Amino acid sequence: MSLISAIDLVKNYGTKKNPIKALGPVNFEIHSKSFTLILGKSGSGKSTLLNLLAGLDKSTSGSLIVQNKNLSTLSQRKLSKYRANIGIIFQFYNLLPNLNSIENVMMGSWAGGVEGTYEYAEQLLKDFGIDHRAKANVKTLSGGEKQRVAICRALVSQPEILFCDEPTGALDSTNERQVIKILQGLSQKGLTIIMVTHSQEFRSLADQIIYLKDGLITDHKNFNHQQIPQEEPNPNHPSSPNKVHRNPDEPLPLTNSVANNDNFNIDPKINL
Amino acid sequence: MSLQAVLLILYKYFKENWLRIILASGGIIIGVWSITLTSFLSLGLSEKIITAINSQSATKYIQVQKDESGANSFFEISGPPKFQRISPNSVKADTVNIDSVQEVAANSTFLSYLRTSSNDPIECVNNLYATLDQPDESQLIPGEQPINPQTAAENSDGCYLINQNYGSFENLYQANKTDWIGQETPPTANEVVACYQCNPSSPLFEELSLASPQELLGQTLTLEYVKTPIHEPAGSIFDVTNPGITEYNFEETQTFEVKVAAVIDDRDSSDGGFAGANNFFTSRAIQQQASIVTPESVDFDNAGFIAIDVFIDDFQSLDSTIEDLQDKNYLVSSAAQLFITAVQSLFLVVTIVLGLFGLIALIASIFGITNVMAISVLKRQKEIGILKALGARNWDILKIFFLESTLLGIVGWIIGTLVGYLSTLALSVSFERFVLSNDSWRNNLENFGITDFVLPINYVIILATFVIALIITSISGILPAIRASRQDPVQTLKN
Ligand SMILES: Nc1ncnc2c1ncn2[C@@H]1O[C@H](COP(=O)(O)OP(=O)(O)OP(=O)(O)O)[C@@H](O)[C@H]1O
Ligand SMILES: [Mg+2]
Repeated sequence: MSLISAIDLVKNYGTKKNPIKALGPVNFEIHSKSFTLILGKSGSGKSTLLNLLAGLDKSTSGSLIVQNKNLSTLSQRKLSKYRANIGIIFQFYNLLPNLNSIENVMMGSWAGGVEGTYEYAEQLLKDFGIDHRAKANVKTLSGGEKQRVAICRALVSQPEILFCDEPTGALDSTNERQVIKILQGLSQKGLTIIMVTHSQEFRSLADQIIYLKDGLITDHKNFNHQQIPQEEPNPNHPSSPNKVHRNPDEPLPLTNSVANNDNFNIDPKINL
Repeated sequence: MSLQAVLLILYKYFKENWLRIILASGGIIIGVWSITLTSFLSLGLSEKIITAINSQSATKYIQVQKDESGANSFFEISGPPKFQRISPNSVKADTVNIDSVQEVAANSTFLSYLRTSSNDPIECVNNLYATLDQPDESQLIPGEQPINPQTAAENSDGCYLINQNYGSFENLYQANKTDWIGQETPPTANEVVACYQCNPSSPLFEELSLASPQELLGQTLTLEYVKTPIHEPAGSIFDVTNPGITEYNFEETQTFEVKVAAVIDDRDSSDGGFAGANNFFTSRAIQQQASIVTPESVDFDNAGFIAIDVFIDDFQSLDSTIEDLQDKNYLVSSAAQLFITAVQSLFLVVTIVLGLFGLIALIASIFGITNVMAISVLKRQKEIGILKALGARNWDILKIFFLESTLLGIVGWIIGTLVGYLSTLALSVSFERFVLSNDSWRNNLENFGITDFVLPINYVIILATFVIALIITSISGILPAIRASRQDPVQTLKN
């Protein structure tokens, strides 16, 4: 069974009488631990779809099943709980301006009513090379630093899925590559990532790409070599040597991996 | 959302926006301030006045009488009262179980009068106390009062009242300033302030053959205090319309040599002041000395009096003692109670009226705070969206904004109470500076037991303003908070 499946999913804005079609109907499936890209021109409905997936918005019709829950029929309260258990990052970081870095990260747990520990938040900041700015007001951080704090915040509640809406859209190429590398590492550790972008840079990372145009899927590419069989996971699959199967109940072993490999010094020869 | 997170958000928000928040709570500050100041002031002043009343031992008693009919309220008496004469001992027996009662003594034990040396004491008092021919009760025009023996006294020949209670000297002097001749300070133990005419029907200046008020000044007069106990057997009836006092027993006569230190020319009242008031104003020292002496020949404790004074320890127990006495079927009158009730209700009205202004400021602040909170919600739409995207429930957002407005109220209340307290303090300090530094004012106040102007803190008022501030901010905060909680995260994140 797939982690996410959309069936005849439609999202209209405007009124019932005067609907503005933003998305759909679309049908697709996303597997656990896969890296999915949603590509398309501006106004094609990418953000609309991502907002539905992240439980920020409700569909007009059709159903969207994530982790065996139909998001279209969830109550506000359950939807909040769902949002607390997934990770999300945005193009413009969306950090809370009055809080410092570590407090912003902790808010990833706290907002959803989870206690969370400072140690884990500190570890995340350290992993992404910004622990020296832990007490800094986020207003003073650079764009790349802000996005890394935002990633830490998304990961602090140890989510199974990470949603990204143009995470590098506001970054220069150096910072962009840094973020790409982080996400690649996370994906390799088994995090399901669904990313909206119009950057071509991520294409080589993707297990599947959904192309949107005027709210409809025009193309849907699956790269077989990176497909992970859900029923019978094989950590030693030859085409995805880095993917490690993990028990979904266990937290992602993010902290002692991802960035620790090379402390996030950007390697110019990195092959994306 | 954990409380920790809510508090962190509020703390950081307050840290960044403290000036705006203080300004926003201005209405609360002013309201709480004015309520605190006015109520501290009026409650404090009324307490001072009660202290002043309390300090006067002359008013620290309750007068009890017994009506023949057994009525225990003056309202129940129809027609002129007929009092049963009661003895101090019977009242003592009735009040032995009332803790607040300290002493029981006969009221109007004596009639004290001044007699110039020109006539016989018995004649003088008989003149003063002449039992006037009272008309028959049946002959009284309805509503007409029987003739009061006191009025008769004012018109007797050759005898003059000694004024026992003329309030403060300052009052006496101020009221008669235009008619005043001589020393402008209170009479000492062997001095007297005398009216020139005293008694229109037998003017003092004629008795003494004086040509002008100046001649009276400096003269030495021999004042005679004639004491006649007015008592009859206990249980006998005293009818107001027919007093039935036929003879006077002269138990004690005392003489005092006094020098006339000041004269009040009371021949003409058109220029203000007294006219024909048969008054001598002596120092309290003489009055006290004259009243100490108690003749041993009379068994006062078992004699019957029209009224008995019940002395109490303090005014705290006044009301309860009055109730206890009424339960024993006494007719009770207390000048102190009337006075205190008047003072307290007057200050209550003042407190309410002034407090109302504060309340209006507080109510008006609802609009200000609602506005500020609505702007805060608008300004922080994105923050709301972020928190919701991270899993915050509507209820969490509501909590944040509701607590924010509540904290606004608390900040306003703290500042208002503090400013209120400080301004009260400033008032009492300046009172003390300006009033107590004046020797004669200070002496007058000390006579009334007032030695400072400390206005005590009233915790009930502080608690009340806290509750009011919370109610006000809750009313102001609830709508913006609900609006905040209903924000659509997608819309708010778009900006
Ligand atoms: N609240 C809204 N009301 C009306 N129309 C909307 C609303 N939100 C989005 N739309 C419309 O829906 C369509 C899809 O918008 P969406 O934001 O998903 O595009 P996008 O692919 O994310 O574009 P971009 O790459 O510029 O972010 C657009 O035509 C947009 O104008
Ligand atoms: Mg978009």
